[in-house]
Amino acid sequence: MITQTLSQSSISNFPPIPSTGKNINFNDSTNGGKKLSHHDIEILDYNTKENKSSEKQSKKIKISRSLKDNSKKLQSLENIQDKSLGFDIEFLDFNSNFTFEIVEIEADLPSTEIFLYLKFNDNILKITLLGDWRDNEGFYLNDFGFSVEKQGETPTSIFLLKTFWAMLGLSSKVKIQIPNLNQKATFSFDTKLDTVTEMLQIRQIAYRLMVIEKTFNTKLPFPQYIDGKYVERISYCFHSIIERKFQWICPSATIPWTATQTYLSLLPDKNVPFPIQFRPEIVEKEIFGHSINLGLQTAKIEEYLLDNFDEIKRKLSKLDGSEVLAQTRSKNGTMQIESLTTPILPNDAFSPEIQKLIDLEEQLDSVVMEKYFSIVASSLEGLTEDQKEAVLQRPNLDEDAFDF
Amino acid sequence: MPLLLALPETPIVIDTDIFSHLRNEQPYVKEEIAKYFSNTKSYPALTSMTIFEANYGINNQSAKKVTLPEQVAQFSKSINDSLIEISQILPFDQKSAEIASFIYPHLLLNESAWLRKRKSKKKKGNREKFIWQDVFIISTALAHNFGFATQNREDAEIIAKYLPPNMDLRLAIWKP
Repeated sequence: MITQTLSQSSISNFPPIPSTGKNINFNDSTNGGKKLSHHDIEILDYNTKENKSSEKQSKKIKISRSLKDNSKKLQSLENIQDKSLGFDIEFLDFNSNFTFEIVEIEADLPSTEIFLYLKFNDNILKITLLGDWRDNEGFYLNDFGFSVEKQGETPTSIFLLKTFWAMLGLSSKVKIQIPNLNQKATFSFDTKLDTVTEMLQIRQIAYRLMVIEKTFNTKLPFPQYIDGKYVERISYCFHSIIERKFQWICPSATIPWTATQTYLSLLPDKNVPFPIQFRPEIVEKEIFGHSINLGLQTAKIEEYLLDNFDEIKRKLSKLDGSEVLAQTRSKNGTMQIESLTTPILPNDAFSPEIQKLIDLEEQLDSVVMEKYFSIVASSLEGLTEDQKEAVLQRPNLDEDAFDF
Repeated sequence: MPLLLALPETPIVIDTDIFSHLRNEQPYVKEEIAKYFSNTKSYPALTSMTIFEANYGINNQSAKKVTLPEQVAQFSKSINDSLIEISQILPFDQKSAEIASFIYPHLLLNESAWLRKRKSKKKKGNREKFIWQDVFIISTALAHNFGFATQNREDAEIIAKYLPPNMDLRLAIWKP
């Protein structure tokens, strides 16, 4: 079968992850969100904005009991009598909630920062609580931020992390709760759209890898940098499994034919495009060192063209069994791939919890699109129709060089 | 013929007309972009030529003193800030220039009759009067390995006849 190529960009997934809370800046809640650079995906600084209608955000936090010895060493969860500490977060816009296990608490007295480490699949999230200590009362929470302490290396952990992060960035209202500490708060976050978009791109690749994993009962890594050729192969495998029949790039190719009656009979009388279907072949794709056997696939080209038609016809007509090189291409550069024996994704491939997050895709896309269209339209905001016409007029340069 | 079909996941540049329709919130563009985003999780790219065209209108108004300088400044900032946040801007770089310089003379020499006919059909001020912008946009798209989305199939087909050897343009037609 013809080798396929699809122009795909490489993806650099993971900028350096902050090792301390120093990368988190808490602004005054009325100052709005900090601008994030394009590459700040993992250094997300989800600055909180005041939500007038939210519940009161400064509340007593009881973990001061673990710090009563005023020790400056790290305080781990093992030192806390109640070992079932959890951190709940609810995304009202997406009707979704997460419950995380707090695996460690870190504080360095007399600092007013407390760090909670949350386990999320293979990821460790770090929550920074910023507040102040009040005599004999404990810690009052004023603000908080998220970062990623340790990022997982499997498609599932990346998928979960990116979904969670995208939801944080797209939600108009997020509720957090630490039940054991009697803490509740409602926040909203300000994240640039291109940052969220990058998360969704990585989420899509992670999901596609999850589908491949489940279909072929294998485990794949999720490297920090994914070359464009792998993005393309992952896409090919995904479509082979899910869509079964799909359009793909068909580059020009030189194919050896044999001067026999069989090949000669393939030729049309005139040099016009003709349909052709390739016989089924086993297709294998290598993804991150793992061979994925897609089974039998066939390719069909509706308008197949032979660039050296006359030469081919002349040589094939000799019927002498010699090799004839045919310069071939699809007229529109595409072919239809059909999976014949490619394994199928099992019905119950994913747990209900993960399936629910998978199913959020359309909703996430929809929120992003709404924001995107709003930003684009804002560039003409406040203009009359005449003014719009004037500013949208294309340049009319009358110099001879361009006057055509 | 080096004009091929853009697939759903082919990275795409939109031409200036489609970008203008997007800014005017025309439903067909919104639908196409939503589909594109669903497939690629990215937005169509723009070329630096489109940035030039997008800024030209307001600066033209300013030069003619139709618009106040402060309005111009505010409007330009609005355009350019929003573009930076939502779009990948492909520069007209060395490779783009090489491609454009190949297309241009071949197009002029071989399609003079078509160009004259095309120009005569277009009234002055018509946004589609000139083709040189599209040559620059297509050259930039090709240089960066992007496909091209436009309403105008004929223009793209004619330009694509004169691409440098071994170069194909992947085309998507977006129209109401």
